[in-house]
Amino acid sequence: MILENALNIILSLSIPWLMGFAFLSLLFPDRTFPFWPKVALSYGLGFGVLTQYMLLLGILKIPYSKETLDLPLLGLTICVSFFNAYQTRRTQPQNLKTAPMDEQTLKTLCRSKPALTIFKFLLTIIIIYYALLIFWKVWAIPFTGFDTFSWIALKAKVFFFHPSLKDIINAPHFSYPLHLPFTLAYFAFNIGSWQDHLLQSFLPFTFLSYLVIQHYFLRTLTDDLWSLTGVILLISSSFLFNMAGICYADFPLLYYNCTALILLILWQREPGYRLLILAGLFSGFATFVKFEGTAYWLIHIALLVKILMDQKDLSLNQKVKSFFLFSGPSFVLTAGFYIVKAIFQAPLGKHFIAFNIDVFHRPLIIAKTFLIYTFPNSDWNIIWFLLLLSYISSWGKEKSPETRLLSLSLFMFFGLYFLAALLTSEYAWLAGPAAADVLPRLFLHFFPLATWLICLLNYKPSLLK
Amino acid sequence: MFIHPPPMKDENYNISNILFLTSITLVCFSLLAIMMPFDPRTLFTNYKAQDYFFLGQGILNSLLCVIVLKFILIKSDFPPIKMPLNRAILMIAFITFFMYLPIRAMYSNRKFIKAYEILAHKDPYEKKVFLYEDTFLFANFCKGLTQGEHRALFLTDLDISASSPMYHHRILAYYLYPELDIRIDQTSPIDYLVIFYKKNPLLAVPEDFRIVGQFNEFCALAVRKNMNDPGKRP
Repeated sequence: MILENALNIILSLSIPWLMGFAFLSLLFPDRTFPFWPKVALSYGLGFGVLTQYMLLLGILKIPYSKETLDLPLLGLTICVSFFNAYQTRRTQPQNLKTAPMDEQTLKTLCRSKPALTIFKFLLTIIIIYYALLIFWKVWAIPFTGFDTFSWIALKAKVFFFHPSLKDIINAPHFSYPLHLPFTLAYFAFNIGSWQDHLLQSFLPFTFLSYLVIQHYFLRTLTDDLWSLTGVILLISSSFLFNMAGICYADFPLLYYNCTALILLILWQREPGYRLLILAGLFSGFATFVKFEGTAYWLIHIALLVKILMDQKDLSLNQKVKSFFLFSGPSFVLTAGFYIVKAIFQAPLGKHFIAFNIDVFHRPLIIAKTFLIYTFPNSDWNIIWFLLLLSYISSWGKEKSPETRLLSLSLFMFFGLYFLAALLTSEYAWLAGPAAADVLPRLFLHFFPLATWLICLLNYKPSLLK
Repeated sequence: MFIHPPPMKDENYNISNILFLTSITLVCFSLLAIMMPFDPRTLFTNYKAQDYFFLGQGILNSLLCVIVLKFILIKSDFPPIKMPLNRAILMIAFITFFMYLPIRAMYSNRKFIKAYEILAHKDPYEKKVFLYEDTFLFANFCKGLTQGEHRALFLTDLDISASSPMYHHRILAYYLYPELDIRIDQTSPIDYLVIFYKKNPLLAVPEDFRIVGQFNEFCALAVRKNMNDPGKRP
């Protein structure tokens, strides 16, 4: 039984992952990404496509089962893999390059390198330790958390016992996106029974995949030490660590949101249509994880517009094409679920503008609440404080384009929630008594930006490296 | 494809500066641990204590030390004192962060060991009993008395708009499903009454229902009297 369950879990992980790898290889037949970042991106791409496929099955009223889920996906993976194998386009391996160093620097490097190596080794040990803790936590502790029982696992159970979208219409929070319920149900279909202690097996892989992606991103912009430091800064947040190990939609949303941003930033450095399409896909997948994903999609669009405005080398036609290459796939993915909700006459969302006289008193209260839940808050370690010090330390100095774009993104994320608190009925949740439960989870979705910015603002290749 | 920016020399990030500032930070930390009226062991057991201590005290007091040193040794040629103040503060913040990274790891370890001791020898059922106690046991009790899938009405004296009762309601709804549906189905006839923490469950049962099982003094399951064949919902 244990072996059978283990094999089923491996199957549940492998099929979407291999599918994602096949699609990624189709999109990037050259070696744009090194192996491990490619594997990490394949995870998100595969599971994103999987849940969209399950939505499509629901719309077509095809019942969910192991056969209707696995066989077509396997078939598609095999076909795409064969196509990839016969592709003739190959370019030279694009490995990360470091700039040459002068002789004086090299001599200093040789003297101090052992200390640095030991330090990096210790950081790696800590990362591995936290990763192992996540694995243990997920497999040792059953479902916990309000959202898990309230809608995520409950909807997944409905999909498993009544394999269609029909019954879900009456479910509480029907309008909520279905990425996580579909993922849980998919695991249950492969296991063959509802064993909830096994269903959240994908969570540690979401965590690990994101760590790899972040490490790769920082490695392209900085160096080994800062990329490891960035990962350490990330996992030092107790709140992030806790959320990565429970079946809540917040960490998957962090994964898709931040990966979309990373791909946009990488595209900005090296414009190429494939990265844009991939970024658009991840941005679209984020909208199917939580409502907030739709708002983040708009932020991604705004960021893309800013990048396009700054790109002097692209013609207007190329800029327009680039815009649609990103917004097209992301719009299709975003609109899909809203169309389904409209068909089933479910509420499209739950927020509305609530303008009243209190609006004029709100800004200070909102700002104060946001400050309380960032700086002197045990959820985030001292990361926000480190970010503030990094900004102060680099005040007046020229910043890289990536740093400026990420700073703008961070401002937009905070601005989004500031405006939501100011103008909508969500004020009570964002700046009122319920803020303690809600704000940290919202800030989690873009918290990695703080760690990236700390690394970028402080990255100055020194005599130690 | 992705190329690093060219290296720039920065005199501030060298070993002597880091060692000097680490020493300053450690001295401040030690002095604070002696002077402050609190048990330093709480740093190993409480995240809030860690953050407030390091954020509020450790960094700011180290800053004070650097400022004092700068004014006292202003004409000194000792390199760390020549470092811009903002850079010194930033380095101290990083040193502080890395200093208590192992403390955090040890804290996580303690929590892990504690959780491991409780859960390691329990099977999944026992873990749920441990975590959710009567709520989980009551759900299993009710499911054991039913056949097929039915719509049920949830009755309770608890205020399920409050946090804890709402959470238990959701847990119950999840574990009862699909045999007893108290949240999803809104159209089928009600076959069962799930009576959860009512002062007198027997009084909550209307004429056309009868108690099929009483879990404890406050929890019971009732079924509609004229329900012939349980079967599955249409």
